Amino acid sequence: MLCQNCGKNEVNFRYTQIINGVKKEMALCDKCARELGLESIDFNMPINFSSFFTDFFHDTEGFLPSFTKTNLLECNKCGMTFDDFANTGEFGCGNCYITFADRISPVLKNLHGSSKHIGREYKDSIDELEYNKKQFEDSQNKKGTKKETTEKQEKAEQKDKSEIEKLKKELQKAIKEERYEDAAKIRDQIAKMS
Amino acid sequence: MVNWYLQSGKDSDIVISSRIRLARNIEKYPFTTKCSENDFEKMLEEIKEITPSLGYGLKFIKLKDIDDLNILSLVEKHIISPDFAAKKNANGAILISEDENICIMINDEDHIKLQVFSAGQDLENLMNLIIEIDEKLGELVTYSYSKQFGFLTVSPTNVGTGMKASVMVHLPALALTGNIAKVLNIVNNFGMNIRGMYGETSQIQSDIYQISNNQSLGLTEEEIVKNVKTIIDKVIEQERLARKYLTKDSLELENKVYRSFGILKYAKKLSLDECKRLLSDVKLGTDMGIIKELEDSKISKLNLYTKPGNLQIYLGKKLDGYDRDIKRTEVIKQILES
Ligand SMILES: [Zn+2]
Ligand SMILES: [Zn+2]
Repeated sequence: MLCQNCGKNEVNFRYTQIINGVKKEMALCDKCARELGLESIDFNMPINFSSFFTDFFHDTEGFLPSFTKTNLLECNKCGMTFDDFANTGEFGCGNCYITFADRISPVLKNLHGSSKHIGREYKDSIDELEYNKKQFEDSQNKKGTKKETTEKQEKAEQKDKSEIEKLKKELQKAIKEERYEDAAKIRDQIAKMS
Repeated sequence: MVNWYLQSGKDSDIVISSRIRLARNIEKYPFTTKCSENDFEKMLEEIKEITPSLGYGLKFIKLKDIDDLNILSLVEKHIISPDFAAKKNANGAILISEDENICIMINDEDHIKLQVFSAGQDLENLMNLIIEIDEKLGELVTYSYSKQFGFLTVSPTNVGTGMKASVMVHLPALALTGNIAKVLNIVNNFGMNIRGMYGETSQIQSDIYQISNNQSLGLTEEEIVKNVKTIIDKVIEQERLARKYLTKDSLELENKVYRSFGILKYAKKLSLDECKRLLSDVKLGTDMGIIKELEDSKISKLNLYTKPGNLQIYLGKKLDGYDRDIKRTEVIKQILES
């Protein structure tokens, strides 16, 4: 196999980048690994940003308010948002895992091939899963009732919302499957709708 | 009794040392990513207070109370990570045992990183020891743990068991025979992390690699250790095969290792990089029984005391880079003649 960077030399090192929770394997020759500044680091070290994904999320942020909104899911203990996590690859507290449980399960499956702990157990666990989640939903509901919108507006919004929601799912799928061109198209479509 | 990094253990001709780490966080504080100064202060105070109850003769030392030279020395012995040392933040601390086989890093990425070390291949014993320490510590503080995700960590790469089992191996024959890339690729494909050290020159100077598990979730601690051990055994097998292959042209091999031994013995000035490369050859020669005048313990000493920090500690004075390169050769002579 030839180096993914120069395409000339034989691959000597593979390492895995984890970008926004998505795993990407790179295969490089000695020379390129060095030139890219990858010397004396873990070859599998999670790198949180790649230029591609940074650009990608930057692009979306500006003109995609609803896209960013879903990422505003926030940990009620430490205030970390899912966006923060996607950017840094780091959580703010144990409760983040519970708050973002649905979203990080695929990330964990990607990283570990599993999202369920089967190792040694500990006496105290914070899995009042239901409790934590419910609190979050309650706070969201409260915000909802405060909004003074007419029924009509709400209905129209809901229709758009479900369309966008659907597209967003497709977008995530495309990113996960590394179909970046498709992802860009879907992203543009979402932008048009909001 | 000499410390683990100067000993030799099982499969010491190839395996330099073993280490197991467990990442833990204390439930009542946010992770280090969200800790306030006040949180850090309270946490350090709490850990300091429980240190005597934990046993093992552990001493609590704040990172800022250790001088630069001793910090560097700990990094060179692989007892603390370079990142942790570089931070040298006001909130970092270590709990370290007398013979340095246990070192708990406080406020590296996670609140607590338990670490145990041993010479040679010794993962099973290390696992038993670290679990014992973990059970005690888990009574003294309350960990952040979930039934679904296990022990919760700052990075999702460590969650679950929080365990990283790693083994440091010396693979010069695989490098010499041009098989190193192939073997490392296979190791990587089996879900292992490989950490290799590049030097200033294009070649990896010391042919030393650290192999550790990637997966910490969805496996038991025993399975993780078993997986790493299985891979290491395969790597050992391949390195031994390559060494056997090298003996086909024994004159070439003898020439190579004795030339390096000669330079090591008689040079008047040696850079760290060159020294590492020479020591790699000399270790290979000794481990293969070609160089007979050296014992394992001397090689370990040479490896340790030629590194910048430990060189200065050995000599008991601060030296700049130029002087170190000269004094390095004197230290080598002292160790060889001891
Ligand atoms: Zn290349
Ligand atoms: Zn949180």
